Amino acid sequence: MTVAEQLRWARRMLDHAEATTVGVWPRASALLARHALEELLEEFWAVHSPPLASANRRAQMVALRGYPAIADQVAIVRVAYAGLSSGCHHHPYELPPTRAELDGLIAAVEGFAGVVAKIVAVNARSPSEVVGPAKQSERARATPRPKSGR
Amino acid sequence: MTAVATPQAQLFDRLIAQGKDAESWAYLVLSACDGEAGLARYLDDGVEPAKPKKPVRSKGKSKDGKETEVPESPRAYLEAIGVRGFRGIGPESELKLRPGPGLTLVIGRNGSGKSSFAEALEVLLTGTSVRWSDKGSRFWKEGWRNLHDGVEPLVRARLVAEGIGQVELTRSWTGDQEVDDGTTVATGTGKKLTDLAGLGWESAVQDFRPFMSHSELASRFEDGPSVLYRALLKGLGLEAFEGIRECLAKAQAARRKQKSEAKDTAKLLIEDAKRIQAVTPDERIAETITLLGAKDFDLDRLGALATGTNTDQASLLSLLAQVAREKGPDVAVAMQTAEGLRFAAKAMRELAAQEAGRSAEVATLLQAALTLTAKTGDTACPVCETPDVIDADWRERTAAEVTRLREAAKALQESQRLQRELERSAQALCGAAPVWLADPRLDEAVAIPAREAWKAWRDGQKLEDADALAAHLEQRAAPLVTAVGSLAAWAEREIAARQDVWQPLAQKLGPWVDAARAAARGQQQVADLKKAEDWVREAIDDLRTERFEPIAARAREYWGLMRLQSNVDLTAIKLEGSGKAQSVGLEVTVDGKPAGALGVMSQGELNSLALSLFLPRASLPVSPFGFVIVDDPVQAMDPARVEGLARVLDQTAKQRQVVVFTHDTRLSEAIKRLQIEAETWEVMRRGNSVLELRKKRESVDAYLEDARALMKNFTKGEIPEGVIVRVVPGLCRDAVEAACVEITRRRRLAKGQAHADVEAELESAQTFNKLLALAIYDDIEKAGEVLKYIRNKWATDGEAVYSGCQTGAHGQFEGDLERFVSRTGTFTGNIRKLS
Repeated sequence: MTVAEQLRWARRMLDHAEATTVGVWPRASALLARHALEELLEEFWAVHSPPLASANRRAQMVALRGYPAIADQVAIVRVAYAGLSSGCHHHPYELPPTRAELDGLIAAVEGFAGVVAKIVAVNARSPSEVVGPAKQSERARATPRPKSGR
Repeated sequence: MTAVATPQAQLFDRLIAQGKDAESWAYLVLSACDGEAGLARYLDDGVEPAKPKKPVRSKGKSKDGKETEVPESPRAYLEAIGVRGFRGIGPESELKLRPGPGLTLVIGRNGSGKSSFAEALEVLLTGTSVRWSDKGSRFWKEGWRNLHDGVEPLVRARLVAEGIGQVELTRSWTGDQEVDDGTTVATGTGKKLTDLAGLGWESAVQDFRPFMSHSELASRFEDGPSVLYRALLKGLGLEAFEGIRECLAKAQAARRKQKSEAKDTAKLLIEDAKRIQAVTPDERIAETITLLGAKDFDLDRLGALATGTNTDQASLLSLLAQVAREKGPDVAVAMQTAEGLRFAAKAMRELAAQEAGRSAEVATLLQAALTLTAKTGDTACPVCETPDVIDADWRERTAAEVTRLREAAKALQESQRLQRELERSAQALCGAAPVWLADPRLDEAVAIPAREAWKAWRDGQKLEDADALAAHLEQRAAPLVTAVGSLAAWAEREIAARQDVWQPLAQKLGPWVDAARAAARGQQQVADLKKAEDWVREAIDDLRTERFEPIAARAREYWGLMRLQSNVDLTAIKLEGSGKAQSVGLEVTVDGKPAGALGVMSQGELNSLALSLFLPRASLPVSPFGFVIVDDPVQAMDPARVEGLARVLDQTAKQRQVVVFTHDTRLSEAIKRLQIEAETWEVMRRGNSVLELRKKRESVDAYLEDARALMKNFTKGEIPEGVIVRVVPGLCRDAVEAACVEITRRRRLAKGQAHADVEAELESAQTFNKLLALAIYDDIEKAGEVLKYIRNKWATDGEAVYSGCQTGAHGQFEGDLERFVSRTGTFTGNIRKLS
């Protein structure tokens, strides 16, 4: 499932009151959006700094600051990641995030998705960069536990 | 409805109990119970009020706060609240409630639409919502509109009311109208229902206000203690008594006003009188000025002045009236009499000049000669002795002469009698002057000539001669009439002058005297009215204290439950002062030392205090509402107090249906921990303001159920695998975390650790491993040993769950998801079984 599809599903759960996702939609939507954001980060590191993909998220968030091309995205991405994580974890005193909150968080991820897509496109056109295999290998390293089916 | 003794019956009862029913003012109290008209009937017309029938005793609550004889009103409980197109709710959504006492929690994030239910019920029962009506601005007024579905707004509620049956309240309006344009319609199974007033709920909802929102509670203390006082006093049922007291006070004020008005008008009258007096002096005016200026009015004398029954004045006025009426002798009569007198006198003179004077004697002599000669037969004259003269011829002639002479004598006699009669009437005509002519109050300029003329006129009485009398009459009558006429004209002028000066003043004085008399009568009533009012005031004070005591006692109890670690203790709640200075006195101590109440409290403490005060009011036995709606009570409350709040809600829920709306899960957590029986609903709002209401389950179960449901929908092909694979492991991880939190909390609290400390530790356990370390080892530091424990104790299944949760949450799950979910179920069961 592509990032775009994940985000579309995340939105769909907010906007369409479907019986299939009654009650579970806030967490499900947050989980999907967070997955999307994590995959976007992997795509980004694959282009700029493959080793960072295996670092923990906190380190990744700090590292993002070193890239002027996405300077305006750093804060947004950090806030979105924290918000989504909080939304999909069990917290003793917190209720699931509201639709409005999720709407904002997903919008942040969608914005970042646009930026990453451009970066990837630029690198795909440049023959000097070997994006495909490198990305593949980095992803394998970045994943300590059983690989996903993707 | 239970019969409660009327205020009149209660006061009558009290009068008898105090042995005061025979007091002069007792009837004032009773007649004031019939309102101003009743009081007026008694005060003005002396109509005694009907004594109340054998009063139904209602003693309120006894001092120990136990509800003794207060009748419990039949109560209404909520069964459902339905909302459509209003506030945060789009398509119609219904919150189902269990009618009857008990606690229900409705939890949802801010903006989830939960408060819309509370506000809808408020609008349904009161026509507005304090939350927006206070703000006043257009933004708030229009704030009721739901942006997604505002075409046909509807709020409704289904209630079951004791003695009435099921009641359905509905209020709808159109999207381009305002909330105010709607009307709440009541329908139901029982009696004929139409509206809230018919149910007796319209005023009750103000008196007992079963709504408590955070914003309302927070502002309770902002408007000062006297507003708080009035708010708390509602529902104590004292308005009727207050009305009676006001009635008595008004009657006093009216009478005092009458008195001061009489004084003011007197001043104006004095000014008037002085102005007139300066131009036309008048002794009545002078006296009026003196009397009106006196400290106490001599109303009898002023009344006499005004109506002209004053004796001095009467004599002068009657004198003047007499004088004005006097015309003197009738000149025409006088002239006729004079003429008669002169005629009689002349006739007498003529008769006397003939033989009239002697005729009677000559006739006697001739008759004697005739008689003698007839006897003797002599022919000689018996007088001169001439012979032969007496013959038949002589005799015949002489007899004729005798007859003639006798007739002449008779005519003379007649003339004399007539003359004497005329003389007498002439003398009578010259009568004495009337007594009043001598009155010194007469103006001498006209009185003296009149007196002189009359004196001269009267002299006629002494005259004997007819001619003299006639002359007297002819000369004196006309001058006398002229003089008397002048005097009468003076008197006439005098009377007119007096009327011109006095009359306008008298016309004003008359009504003033009446008013002053009424005022004087009123003054005698004022003292009794004051006594009656004072007595009623005292009765109100007693009733207030009596009826407020249960509220105060419960408020202290509630505050005691909620204060927990607060160093502020509430020692007394008192209603203080009287009239406009009435207020609620809250005596508090800080660390045992007396302190001013509100200044030392935090906002959270103030909210708790407000709740402590208003929950008991809403739970008064006489309220027809069996429910209390509490919206967002936890806001600004520190965590420790939430547990107290849970206990307070539990207390109230023993007698009332308590519905609490909150965004804060600490309350539901505290309720769970304290094992308070409650039903919890979770509210979530999706796109287009679609509300989802779900009964809240245990967290662990909820996550697992959601995971299973998603798997089911995945098998049905309704959700793609890409979603499932990313979401389900996350839910499983949440279930494990929730189980960790649950066991840690239970274990720590059982050991007596402070709730706040437990929560702080849980909060610090940010990672999956740390949470597991807390659950397994009760030690956050042993995160590294978690996997070893799981492998040893829970084998492959356990390890699969452990790693699946870690990686799956980040989208890299591989394997059989269905099996993973069922393994997670076992895993969480194992965690929950840990000691």
